[in-house]
Amino acid sequence: MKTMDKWLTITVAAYNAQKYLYRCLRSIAGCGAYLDKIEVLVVNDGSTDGTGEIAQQFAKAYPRSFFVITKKNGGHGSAINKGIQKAHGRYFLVLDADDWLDSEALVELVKTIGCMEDTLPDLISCHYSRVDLETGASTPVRQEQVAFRKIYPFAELPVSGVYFALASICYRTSLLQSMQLVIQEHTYYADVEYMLLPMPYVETVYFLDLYLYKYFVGNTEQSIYLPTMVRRYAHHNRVMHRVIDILAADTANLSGRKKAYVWQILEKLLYTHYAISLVYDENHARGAVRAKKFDAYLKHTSFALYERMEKTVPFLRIYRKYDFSVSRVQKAYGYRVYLKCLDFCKTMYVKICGIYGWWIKGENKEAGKHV
Amino acid sequence: MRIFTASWFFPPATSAEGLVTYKLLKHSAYTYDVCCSRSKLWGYAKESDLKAENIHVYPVDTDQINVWVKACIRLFRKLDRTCHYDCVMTRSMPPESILVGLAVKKIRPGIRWIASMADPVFRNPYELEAYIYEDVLLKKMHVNQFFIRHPKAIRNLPVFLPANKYKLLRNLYKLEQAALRHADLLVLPSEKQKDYLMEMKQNRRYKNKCQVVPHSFDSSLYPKRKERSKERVCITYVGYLDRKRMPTEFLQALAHLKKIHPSAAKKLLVQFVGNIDSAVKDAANAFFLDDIVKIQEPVSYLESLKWMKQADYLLHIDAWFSFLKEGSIFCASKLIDYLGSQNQVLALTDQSSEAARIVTESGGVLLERGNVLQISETLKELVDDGSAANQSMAEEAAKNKRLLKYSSAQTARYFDRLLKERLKG
Repeated sequence: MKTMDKWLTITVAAYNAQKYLYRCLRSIAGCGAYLDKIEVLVVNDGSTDGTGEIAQQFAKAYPRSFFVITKKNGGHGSAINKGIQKAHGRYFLVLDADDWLDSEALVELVKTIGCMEDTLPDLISCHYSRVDLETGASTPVRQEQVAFRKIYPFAELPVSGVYFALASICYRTSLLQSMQLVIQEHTYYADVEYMLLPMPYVETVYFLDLYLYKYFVGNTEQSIYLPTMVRRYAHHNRVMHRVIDILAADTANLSGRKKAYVWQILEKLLYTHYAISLVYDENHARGAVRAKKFDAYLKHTSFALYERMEKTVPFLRIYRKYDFSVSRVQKAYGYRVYLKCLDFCKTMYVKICGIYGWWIKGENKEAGKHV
Repeated sequence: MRIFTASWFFPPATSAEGLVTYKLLKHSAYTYDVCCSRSKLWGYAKESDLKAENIHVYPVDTDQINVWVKACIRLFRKLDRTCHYDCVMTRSMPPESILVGLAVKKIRPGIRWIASMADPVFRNPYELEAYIYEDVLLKKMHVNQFFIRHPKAIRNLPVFLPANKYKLLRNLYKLEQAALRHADLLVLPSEKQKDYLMEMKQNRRYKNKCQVVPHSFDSSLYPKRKERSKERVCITYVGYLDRKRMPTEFLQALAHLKKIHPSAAKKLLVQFVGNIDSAVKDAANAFFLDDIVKIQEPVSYLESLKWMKQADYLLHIDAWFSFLKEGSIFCASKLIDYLGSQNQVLALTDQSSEAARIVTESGGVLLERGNVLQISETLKELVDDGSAANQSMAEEAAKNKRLLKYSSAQTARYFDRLLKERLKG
């Protein structure tokens, strides 16, 4: 296949995605004449349903753009790894099979890449939308406080306003290939590695004011669904270990804005990680044991981050104080008072608003029903 | 009679407010000098060549409302020396038009002022939604009802609102009060909107100034209908869709129909033509409707009439506001254009809304907001036995007297009579 002149490689990670894959691939095929400049690698990750056939249909219909890679099941990370290995486009984008792209925005992205002959930024970032499975409602997620169509050196990036999520990033392919990025296989949440591990190598960033990626949410099978997160704690734990080992360990070589950005994201991820075990897990004892083990690891690997988390995660200080003993934490005066205060404030707020609302609503009960 | 008209929107620009004004003035027996803007910031950036002998247009090249207001006043001063106007007319969008009316009244105290209040200035549901109902606490306090019962509470707004929001609402309140006090005739498009304006205690004393002049359609602007495709039933929405006016239930119903009766769904083609929020496309994709739902680029007004004429059914969607008992107080002028195309209208609206009344009266079909099953059933009926799609019934309805009252010639005659009666002396 002659793919050297491709401007963008889209790797579609597909596992048993028969229901969604057609929509996903059609959104790419919908970009008309610019399809020739795109290489679509549909990685069929050992699917047992009709995923392969749908992918083949597209490969047949658009033989210069769609290519099917069939492999044994190895998880989302393995599909990305395969994509990176085989990519020929100037830029690399990962698309999950249940998500899709806005065709018009895709055309705009490809056109923009085509115009970048000499200076290729390491990362191109767009906005994305979260689309709810039940209601179809889409919530835009924007990159804030940045200028568009301008190449930013990472050192000048306003890090507090940006977040490079899987749905908002296109890496320069040669960057991923030269750093030999390999993501953990058979592991959920490995996309975190894809989002963070290349960061030390990213020197320039370019933002586009486009809503490109449509991220489908609300599926109870999705890995970000809370009960699923508890069930897959081990996977999350594995990913957190790897990311911290590489990016936040006391030995890691990150500084300036890059460090600020990576730590800011790590803090959010760690908040979730502690919350999975200490809040969402209904088996409190198990959660506490898991959190204690992870906390010891964090203290040992990155003491600065360990200290910082105490400020970010309000309940962590109490857990640490009582050595992650659930019974002691629950008995602890401070914790009880904290909960009671919270409860009291909530009740008072609702009561005050309710009474005030009832007073204003007055005789107009009919209208009140609609409020 | 010669009337000076300040209307930010006016053809050739495609904008509902400008088109409503054009259709009304074109068929009036009087002469109008219209000062409008040539801004491309709002509207659809599509133009239609609409002219009339009795309308002289004076466009101002600006995107700034205050510049346009000043230009309007300057133009009035200049033209009034030779024309000696009998009246000045201001439109409700943007509300700053009221400033032109006030200034003209100051320049020529004897002149009569007709103020269109087609969109509420203060307590505009869009403003309330954006400034108040996004706030959880204010939402719980039922602020809309609060204003109605305690109109003077506007003074206490700073307690609840941040300074910039308060300033904006306070200015809108002042503008509305100024228009109510100084205008000689207040024109509203429906009884519902008149009632909404009169809900506030201190507005009730101006009740006699209020007159309802409905939106209208101009049958001479519609093209002839070409032969329609018999393979698919085409439902068309023409206009603007945003996050307040979303076809969510309609799309959910289509998805349901596709799941339960895929063969019926295959026979449907739903087209959204105009300035359509990307959220609609996202929702259609989320429900796997890309083979049924098509989204078309914005078109000019005359083009839009072509789309209306060519459709089998026309879809109307009202913006919905949780704090209004009718859901919406607005009467979209597009709905009247729909009626003019003589096609049957499907309206996704609250049963007590103005749109529901008009659609029911004209033989259209009401799609119950929130009732996905009912909408889905109705769509199946449209495809299957056509019981809801009786075209001859729609043709009958078009001939019906009740529909004719929305023709622009009739509306303009009524408007002229009103001016003559109310503004003489």
